[in-house]
Amino acid sequence: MTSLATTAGTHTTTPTWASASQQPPVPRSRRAPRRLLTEPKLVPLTLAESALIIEVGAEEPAWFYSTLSGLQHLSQLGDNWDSYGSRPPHDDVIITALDLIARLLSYDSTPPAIVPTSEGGVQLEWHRDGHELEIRVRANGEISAFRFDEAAGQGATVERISLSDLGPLVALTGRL
Amino acid sequence: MWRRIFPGWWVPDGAGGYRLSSAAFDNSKDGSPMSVALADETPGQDAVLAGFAGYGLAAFTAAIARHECFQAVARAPLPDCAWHAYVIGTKTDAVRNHFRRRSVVLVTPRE
Repeated sequence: MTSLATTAGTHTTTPTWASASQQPPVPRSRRAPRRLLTEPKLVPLTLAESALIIEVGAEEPAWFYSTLSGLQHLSQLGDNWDSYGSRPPHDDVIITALDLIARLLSYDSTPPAIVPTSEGGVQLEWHRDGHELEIRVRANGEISAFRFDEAAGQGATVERISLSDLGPLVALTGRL
Repeated sequence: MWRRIFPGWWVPDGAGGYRLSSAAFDNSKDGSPMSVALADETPGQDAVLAGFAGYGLAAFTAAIARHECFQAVARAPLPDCAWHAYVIGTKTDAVRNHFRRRSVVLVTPRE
């Protein structure tokens, strides 16, 4: 599990780490305290109707930037993106997916494939060695998961997963 | 039956290649069923993909929809698309995944 803190809403303040090099020089006595390497990074994520500042401690997880990029891409889909009249996922669905990922994945976990669903949700997928895992965040916020073992030809589903109790999901997924 | 495939539904397979996502087989948010083209009644693949550059095309039979995925298939012609049909029924995770595994990719999506 990775510790990420997110702040939702519309932010106009540029994160301090990004603006530091753009500030005019100031007298030494008035300089702000220097940031330490151990301080958390603040990473912006801009969605269709809101923006997040994501605080990530020390070093970013292996899946971090590819996941943010995938989620941001979903937010930028246009109407009729699937050719069947669907609209892109709402920000709250994308934020729920990010929250789930941050709670579920370890530092060195494999990043998921992130795909939109015609129903307005977000689906996270892992495929490896004949095992398929799909976690779905529906447009109404409901979370479900499906695991399929190709060799055995058997699948298992977990419905109504709660972010506050990921035990049933972890039991299905194992280590990602 | 043919189903257009959004390029984002073509995902890494974990072995260096790509594969269909089960997300390609779902009903719409407004409650309308999954749309397909009745392949035998179309003028061809190009007509179904016209206006959707980069999209792919997947095929499955009505028998798979009916007998393996427990769906109904109904004609639903549109003014500019006489071959349009609906695949009606609940698309559970298992059903969508079964469609994915039983479909054949005719045209590979590309970004």
